[in-house]
Amino acid sequence: MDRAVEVTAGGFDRYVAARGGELWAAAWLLTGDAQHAEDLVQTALSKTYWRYDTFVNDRHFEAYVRTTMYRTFVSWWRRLQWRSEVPSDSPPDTPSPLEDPAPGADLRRALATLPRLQRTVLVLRYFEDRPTREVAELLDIPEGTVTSHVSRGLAALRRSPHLATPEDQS
Amino acid sequence: MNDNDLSDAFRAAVPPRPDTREWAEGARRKARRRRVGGTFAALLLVAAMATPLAFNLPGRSTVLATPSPTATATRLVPDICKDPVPSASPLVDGDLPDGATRVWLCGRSDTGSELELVGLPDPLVEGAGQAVAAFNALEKSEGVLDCLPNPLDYTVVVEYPDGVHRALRIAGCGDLRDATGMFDIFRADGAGYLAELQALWAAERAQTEFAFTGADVCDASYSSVLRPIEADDLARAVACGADGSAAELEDDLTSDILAELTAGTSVTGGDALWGAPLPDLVLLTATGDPVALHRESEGVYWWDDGYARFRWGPIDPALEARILEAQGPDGGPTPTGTPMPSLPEEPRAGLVSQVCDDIQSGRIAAEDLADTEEVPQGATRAWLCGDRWETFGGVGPLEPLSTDPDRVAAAINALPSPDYEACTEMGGITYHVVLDYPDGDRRIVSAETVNCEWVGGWGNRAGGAQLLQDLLPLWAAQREAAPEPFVEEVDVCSDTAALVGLNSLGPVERGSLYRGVVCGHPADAADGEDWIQRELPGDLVLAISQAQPVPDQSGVFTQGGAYLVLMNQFGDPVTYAVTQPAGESPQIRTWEWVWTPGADLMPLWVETLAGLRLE
Repeated sequence: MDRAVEVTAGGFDRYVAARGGELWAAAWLLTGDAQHAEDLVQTALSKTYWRYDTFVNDRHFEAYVRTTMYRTFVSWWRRLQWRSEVPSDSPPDTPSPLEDPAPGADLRRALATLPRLQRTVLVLRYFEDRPTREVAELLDIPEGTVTSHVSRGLAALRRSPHLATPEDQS
Repeated sequence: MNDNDLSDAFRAAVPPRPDTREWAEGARRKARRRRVGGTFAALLLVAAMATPLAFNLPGRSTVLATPSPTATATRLVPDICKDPVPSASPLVDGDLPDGATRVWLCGRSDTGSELELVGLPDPLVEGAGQAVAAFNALEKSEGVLDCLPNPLDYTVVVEYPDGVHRALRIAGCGDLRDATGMFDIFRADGAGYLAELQALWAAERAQTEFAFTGADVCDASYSSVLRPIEADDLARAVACGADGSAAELEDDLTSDILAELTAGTSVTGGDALWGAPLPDLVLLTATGDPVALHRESEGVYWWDDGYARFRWGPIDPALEARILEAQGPDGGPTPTGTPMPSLPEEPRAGLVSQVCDDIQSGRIAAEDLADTEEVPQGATRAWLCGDRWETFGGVGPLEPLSTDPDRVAAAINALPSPDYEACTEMGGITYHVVLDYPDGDRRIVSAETVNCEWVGGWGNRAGGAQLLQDLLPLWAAQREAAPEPFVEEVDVCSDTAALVGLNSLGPVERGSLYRGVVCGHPADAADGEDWIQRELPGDLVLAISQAQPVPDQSGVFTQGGAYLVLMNQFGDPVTYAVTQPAGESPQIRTWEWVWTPGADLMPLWVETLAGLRLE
């Protein structure tokens, strides 16, 4: 992912047109669903819209949008009909079915079995390539907690039958 | 699969990005719907609650005329909502019993600011049973305490015929729980439950034609827990005078105000500062959901819905003149929007603010207040500090109380005069309150929680234990309203910490621990006596926070061994000893319990302690 893309200031519309897709990509990994990803991005944009003019450039604004998006997802994005999530540190016993096959469906299924905070930490670490300290600051949690979630999340993914390689299964 | 594989898999997994060129307009519409002030479409839950009267903006002459309501209320905060939790009975096996007579939706006043969240002024009667059943049907959950602020903040009070009432409140990330408990069973989906309650109220109000008819709404800055209130639902306006008086505005002026507000062209987000505690203008829905507007400057107002702040204006000068006239000859409760003078930031000494460290180290000391002398109002911030290390002083909050710190002075001044007939001077100081004033003046008031419990020195006031219990919630509310997690790396290992421990003045629940360090001397004395500090692995912190230790008050541990300093997300510390009985694994021990990590964590635990002296 190219996080170094320079986004010049040019109004809220221009910003969204230029960067909305990248926001959506992260949201897709969090939600595992194109429509929910769009909802999440739209929610984050609507929550940050009023602050757009207070940022000196679009890059700073994007950091604010992303923070809002991740926090929204972690803290109160509770549409239970999305999936039967268990708000605990333990993965749900049974992953919700995701019907439509799509590119990366295995990873999506594997991520869907993780608690939201764990999933969010993994997306930040491995999709956005953010260092542990930055993840901790963005989510307002201690670095130790980030490390723990990464460790547990990776362990869960490695155990996931959705990501098992033939060698793993042999 | 290694880490690089995972990164590659993430990138390869995401489908092609959609065309987002039209999303900005969607977000803009959504943003306006979220806030009062947009030309909103009628949607969401609040709209479902509005009576038809609320949609009569242009012709507001019938606002309170037809049809005559059969049910009314005149006070925004019913008595039962003022402090329902202390007298509440617990749930029964995690459920609300059947047979409820009334259900109330309440807000809260301890928001950490002048803001007072209000629920609904009228009870649910016919639908009380359904409200109980809806709660009992919610999925039980373990609850999540470690999330960021969420926009839900309400309390539900359920009354029973025998005079008992029970209360539910929002916890952590939006779950519900028994308001009388801390870590009991949670119910998921506080947002969904609120929506169900709103639907029940809407149905009942449609039958009773309920209307809120009170105008006494200027005595606090009220905001509804049903935020955001839709501008289209607002129906009434009350002007507030300088003395807190309230005057309902004429229909034509109300219509003009609401018309300008609903035009939505002059509403923006903002970070207005509390300058005056009381509003200048209060807008209300027909059923009493309030929006309290504070005048920032002529023609410019702001309001706080408890989750964000908004600015409205500049409005038409002629309209502003009419509002000012309605407020009376003295205008409103000015000044507003005047930022408090800022004081230099206080440096920190590890987990202690500099001023508290100065007190604990004896570099500065409190001065006794004269008999009945009062602590001045006007402080910009207040600190809460533990006593000197030699007396096993605790650690106060790292941050000062900057939200209405005058409450601290007021709490001290409200304490009774001492009556020392039954106590001696023994007992010792246990904590200190520091008040910083804009002119640089600093007052330090000491208090003890034991024995005479004097405050402000011998002979001034008494009640130090209760004072501490009254002050700690002020910090808690400030943290809840504006959390600033403490993420700095700090050195905490020292001879002092080993001797007396680093322990917060307030309670630090084990379940709230977020991170920690282990302190110890080198195992080999030949390597010196310097303290070694290591970060405690996250897995161990989690395990400690969730452990079920064995009660054990034998409390046998020495001062030369290793110890843990753990912190919650705000840096409030607690110290646990590490002991290793002969032939056993290293344990974590307090005066109350002992716990040994399980077999799965034992290798990590042993590795963490490797090379440290255990005694």
